[in-house]
Amino acid sequence: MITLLPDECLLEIFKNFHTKYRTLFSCLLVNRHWCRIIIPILWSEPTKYIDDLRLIRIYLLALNVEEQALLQHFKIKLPNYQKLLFEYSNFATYVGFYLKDRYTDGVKNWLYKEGYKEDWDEEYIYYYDDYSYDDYGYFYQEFDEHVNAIKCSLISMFLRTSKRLKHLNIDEPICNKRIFEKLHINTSITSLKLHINNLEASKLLAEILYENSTLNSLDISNNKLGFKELKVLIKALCKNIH
Amino acid sequence: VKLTSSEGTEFIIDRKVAEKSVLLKNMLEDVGESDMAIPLPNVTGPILNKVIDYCTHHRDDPFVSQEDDSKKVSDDIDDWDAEFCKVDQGTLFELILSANYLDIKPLLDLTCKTVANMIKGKTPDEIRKTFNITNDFTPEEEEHVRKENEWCEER
Repeated sequence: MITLLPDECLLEIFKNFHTKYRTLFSCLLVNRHWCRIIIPILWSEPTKYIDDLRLIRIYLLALNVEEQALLQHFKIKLPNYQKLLFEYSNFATYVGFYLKDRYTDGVKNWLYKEGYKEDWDEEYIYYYDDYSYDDYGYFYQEFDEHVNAIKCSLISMFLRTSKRLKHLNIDEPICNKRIFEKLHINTSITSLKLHINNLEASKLLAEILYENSTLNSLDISNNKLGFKELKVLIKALCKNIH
Repeated sequence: VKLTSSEGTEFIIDRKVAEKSVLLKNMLEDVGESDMAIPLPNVTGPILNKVIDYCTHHRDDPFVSQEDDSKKVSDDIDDWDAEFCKVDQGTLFELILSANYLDIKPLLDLTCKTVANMIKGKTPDEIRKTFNITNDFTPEEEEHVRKENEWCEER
C-alpha cells in the first residue's frame, strides 16, 4: 500500500516531477496527505518557470497591511478572497522578476486584467492591446510605475515571509530603499541578482555587502555601472572578502 | 558478511555487495570483521533477496552521493533495472522502504522512479484507483485546492 510509505519516501517519488507542474497538480488533488507534501514542492520556485496572473493573484493575497498600503494611492484593486489554505509565499526558495512585455509578465497581466478599479478607460484598453506606445506614452509610464510598485510589494512580502528564500533574482531596476533595508537584515539568501542603475542603489547594496555573511553569489552583470558606482561596490566587496 | 531477515533467515553476501548499503557500510566500519550476523528486523527474506540481487548486479557501479539528485529523469531506467522492478505494488513499496532503511540511494531512486512513472500522465482519480487511495477532501476543500493552484494545471 502506497499509504504506508513515510513522507520522506513519498517526497523521493514526487522529486521526479520537479517542474512537471501538471503531474504535481494531479498528485495535489489525490488526498489531503499528498496535498500537504506537494504544496512545498509546487510553491518552491514557480516564478522561475511560470508567469501567470493566477499565480500573482494568490501571492497578492499574502500582502500584509503595510505592503498593501504601498499600493493604495495608485487605486489598485487588490484581490479579495477567503483565507488561503496555505501560506504559499513561505515555501519560496527562488523568487525572480524580469522585465517582460505584457503578454508574458504575470504582474502586468494581472494589473491589466484585474488590478484597476472601475475608472479604467475603454480607450486605453484598445490602445493597450494595440501596443501603440507612442500615442499613449504617458499612460504606459504610469502603468509601468504601478507594475513596479506591485513587484516591490511582492518582493517585500517574500523577504518578510519566506525563511527558505535562497535565490533572489531581480533583473529590472525596481528595487527601492525599502527592499534594500529588508535585504540588509535577510540571512537566508545565498545568491542575489540585482539591477542597479544609480549611485544611491550602489551605496545601499554596498552597505549590505559590508555586513552580509550568507551571500555567496552576487550577479550585477546586466548593469551598465559608472566608475563611481563600481568603486563603491568594489570597495565593499574587498571588505567582505576579509 | 552475514545478514538475517525479519523471520530469521540468514544470508551470506560479499562485503562489497553489502557496502552498497550506507547503513551496513557504516556498521561494518564501526564493528570491523565479525562472524556475527547483522539483524535486519525491518526487511523480510524475499525482499532482502531482491535487494541482494540488485546490489550484486550493481556491485561495481560508482557511488552516487546524496547531492547528485538535483536532476532526475524518469525515463533513464536500463533494461535490467526495468525487469527488476516488474513486481507487484506491495513488493515495490517494500523495496522502497528497505532501500530507504538500508540507505541504498540508487535502489531508492530506481524504485521511486518506477512509482513516478506509474503516476505520470494520470488524473487524480486514476492515481487514486491505481494505488487504492481514498479521497478524504471535502468537495469544497478540493475546489479550494484546485482554485489556489490552478496556475499549474495546464503546464
